[in-house]
Amino acid sequence: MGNYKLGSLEELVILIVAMRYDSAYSVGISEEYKKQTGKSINISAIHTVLYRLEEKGFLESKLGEASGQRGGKRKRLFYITPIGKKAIDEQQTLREQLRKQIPEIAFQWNS
Amino acid sequence: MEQLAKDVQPPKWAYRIFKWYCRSDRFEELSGDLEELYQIRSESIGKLRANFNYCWNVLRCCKSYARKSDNKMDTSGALIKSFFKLSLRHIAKNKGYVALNVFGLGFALAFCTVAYMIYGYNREFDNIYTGENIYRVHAMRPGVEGLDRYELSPLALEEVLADDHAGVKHAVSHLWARVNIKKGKYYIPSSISFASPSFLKVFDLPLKYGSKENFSEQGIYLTEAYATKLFGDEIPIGKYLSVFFHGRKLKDVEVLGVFEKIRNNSSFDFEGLVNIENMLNHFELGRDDWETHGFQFGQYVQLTNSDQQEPVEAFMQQYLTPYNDANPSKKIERFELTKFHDPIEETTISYTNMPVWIRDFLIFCTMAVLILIVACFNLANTNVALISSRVKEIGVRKTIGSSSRMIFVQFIFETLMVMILAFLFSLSMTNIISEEIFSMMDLQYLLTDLDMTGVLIFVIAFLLVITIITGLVPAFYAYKFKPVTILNHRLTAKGFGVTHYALAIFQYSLSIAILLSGLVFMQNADFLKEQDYGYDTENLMIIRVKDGNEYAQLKTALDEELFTKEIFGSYHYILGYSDEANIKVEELTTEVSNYKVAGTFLEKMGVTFAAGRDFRDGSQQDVSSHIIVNQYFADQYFLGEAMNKQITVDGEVKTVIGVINNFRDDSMYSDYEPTLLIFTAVPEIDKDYLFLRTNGESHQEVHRAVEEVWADLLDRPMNYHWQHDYAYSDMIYDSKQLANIFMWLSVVAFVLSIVSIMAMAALHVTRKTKEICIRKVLGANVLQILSFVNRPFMKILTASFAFGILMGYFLPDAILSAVYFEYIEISWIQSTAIGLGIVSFALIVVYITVLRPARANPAEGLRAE
Repeated sequence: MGNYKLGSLEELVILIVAMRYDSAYSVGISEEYKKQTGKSINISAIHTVLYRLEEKGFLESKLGEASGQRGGKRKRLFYITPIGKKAIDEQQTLREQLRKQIPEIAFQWNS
Repeated sequence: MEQLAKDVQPPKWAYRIFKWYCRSDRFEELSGDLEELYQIRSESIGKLRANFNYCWNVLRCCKSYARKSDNKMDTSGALIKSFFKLSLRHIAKNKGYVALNVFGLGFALAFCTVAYMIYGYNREFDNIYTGENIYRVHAMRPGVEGLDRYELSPLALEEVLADDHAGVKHAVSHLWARVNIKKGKYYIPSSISFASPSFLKVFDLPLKYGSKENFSEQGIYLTEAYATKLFGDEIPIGKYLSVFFHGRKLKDVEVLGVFEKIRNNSSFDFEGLVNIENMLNHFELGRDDWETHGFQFGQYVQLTNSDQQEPVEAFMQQYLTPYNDANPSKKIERFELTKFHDPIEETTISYTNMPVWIRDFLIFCTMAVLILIVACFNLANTNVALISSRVKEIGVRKTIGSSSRMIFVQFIFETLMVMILAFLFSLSMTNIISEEIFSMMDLQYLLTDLDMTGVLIFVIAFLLVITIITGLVPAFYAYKFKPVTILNHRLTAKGFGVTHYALAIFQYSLSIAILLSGLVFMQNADFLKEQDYGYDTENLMIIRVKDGNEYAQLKTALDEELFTKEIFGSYHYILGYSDEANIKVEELTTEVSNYKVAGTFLEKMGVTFAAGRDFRDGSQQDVSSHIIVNQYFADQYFLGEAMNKQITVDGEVKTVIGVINNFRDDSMYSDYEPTLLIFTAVPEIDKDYLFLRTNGESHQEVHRAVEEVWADLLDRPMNYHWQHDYAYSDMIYDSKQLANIFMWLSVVAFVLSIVSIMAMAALHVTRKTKEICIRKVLGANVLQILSFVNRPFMKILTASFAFGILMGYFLPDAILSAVYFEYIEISWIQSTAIGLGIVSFALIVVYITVLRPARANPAEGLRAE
């Protein structure tokens, strides 16, 4: 396994970025996060995670087109990189592996 | 770029803060995000909450990902960091000098903090009582110069004030006394306040245990410290104590409460508070009694408002007549009210606790300031001296772009670091010194008892002011350097500047002056100790007895003890209370102090006779018709020829059989003028005091042995004192303790000066290495080199010697004359000799420092250069 350590928030943010292809920017991500998890999150926390993931190479970004929506200011759009994909895949595989190894008896509480 | 619609604009100031903080490449996207959120929020939760939310988000977004990398804060942070690093390096490189400066400044700071504590003690005097409109009742009594202010008034005044004037809310009578409290078989000397129950209402002291209700006749409140002394950790409420006042047992008292800590700087400095009724009932004194009966009652009133002061004062004047009728010998002219929290006039005669008089600490404070000046000069001097070895550093820094201001700030910063270290050192010293100083006044007062805001302001202001003053000289020195001059090696060749000379001379002469003053103060302490009081005060223990029978009983028992040299008795003792007698000489009548003595008391006290003889033991004729006067009396009334003259004493005609030489009956602080004294004999049975003269055994041993004898015979506490301690009062003790402190101060000043001159010499030599080597190569011998190198030091030391001697003569003289009436005469010869000694010592130090480089191989020195 490579050195692709991800925190749970980081993992979620990468997943959302990948999910919202070509429209993943911080405000959108924070709203998606709220929609998916039912928990609200401050925009500053999303910024921190996004810039950190970009620094680590899991995401890349570019400035979008200006629109009238936000005072004409451009959005920064994030995209998943191959390393980012590898990281979430590994995370996924690890989880599934572990899940499969749980014996059935562990879930039988009634007997 | 488009702007947001005008009605959905977020707060501008928050936007500006974010713009200032945020790095430019991310500002657009981040501020865009914030504004988008703002738009969404203002639609969903309203503008006001959206505004608040926007500000909150701006704050949250001020994080590292948004921060400018070329932010000004970064630069100043790095600058401070570099200042800090440089200062640490400077300290590490010059450990010795820095340690010495820290030590000197630390001492000076500690002394100054103690001086501030003394000031604070007075400033915060009585601050613990927060009640309003409280006044002291003062009786104005005619004295030698106008009216004397007494904080004493008759007991009956309390009742008339409390009952008959509507403007008076409460009136309080108070009497402070030293009593013995019996616990088990021990008698514990304690200070007690007897006060009316209204005391607790007027002076709001917080209780730790117990309640203020029902302050009954047989109740006592203890202070926290005293309760711990008596009962340890136990809660003492409900316990009983026996109080002995003037050797007599009052009614037993029950502990009703324990006060929280009461600071020493308050008018009522007691260990226990007892209801005054207890003492009044015992002595059968009435509440309506206008006579004082020799008790020092004080009165305090709380008025309904401050406008009532004048009406109440006017109201009190009608009671002058009953008071003056009851106390014909202590007539007063008027009563006055003085605000309780106003500073108390120094001339007030009061038996409550008083603020300390700054005069007593004049010497201490002056020395503290002087030592501070020396320490500051030392710091400035060593810094200036050390700069010369750092000119290259400064030159290089200036060349690569450091501004003069930066160099200036760095030197100030270095001084500040030394000051902070000194402050830390002084913290440990302050408590030791303050304990010494305050124990002289039997006070326990700590820095933490002071108002901490004041202390903090004082310390911070003090540190800053001293840093700026001492840091300015070296900082300016470095500020002015021109990098080209430095790097051309032109500056290093320069010798002492005028500033350097002036600083060194001032510091050194001040050190000489301090050392001389310290010596003079020490000698003065010895001088005061040796002062002749006109009678023999040595090894004399005075014990209070009830009457002649008790005296005889105790005398028989003590006669067997080995330490007993002599035992005699009397009704009065010198310096104690005496009676006032109305005398008539021919047609002149006056009042004089009449000491009633028994038998050959005067002779045994070591009083010398100018003419005639002493009374004889057991002589009936002496008691009935003879009198002894002092020389002053004889001079005043009989032009020196008093023998066999007639004097009428309280109506009885007596013949003078002896004239004694005048003796001192007061302390050294004041100008001594002999007073009119007469001595009359009393019958043997009237002995109230037993005088035990020992062979010089230690006071503690004798006291222990006598107390054992006493305990076998009598069931009450022994009341005694040593005449020497009494006559010389605490002043001698204080003066000795002060002298010790001065010796410390002098030593600090001396060490500082010697080391600073050593530093100067060493640096001077380093600077002159090239010159020394060249001279040597050209054929100069060691002596010639020494005289050439030492020339500036000779100048400094000669000038300091002259100034130092002058200051060392006039400074202690001025201080002593302000404090004592009689003090040692300072001899010029001694001052000169000591001054010469110090200067020669310094010269030797300089010679030794210079000798090694002067003798070194010139080739080595030149190679290094």
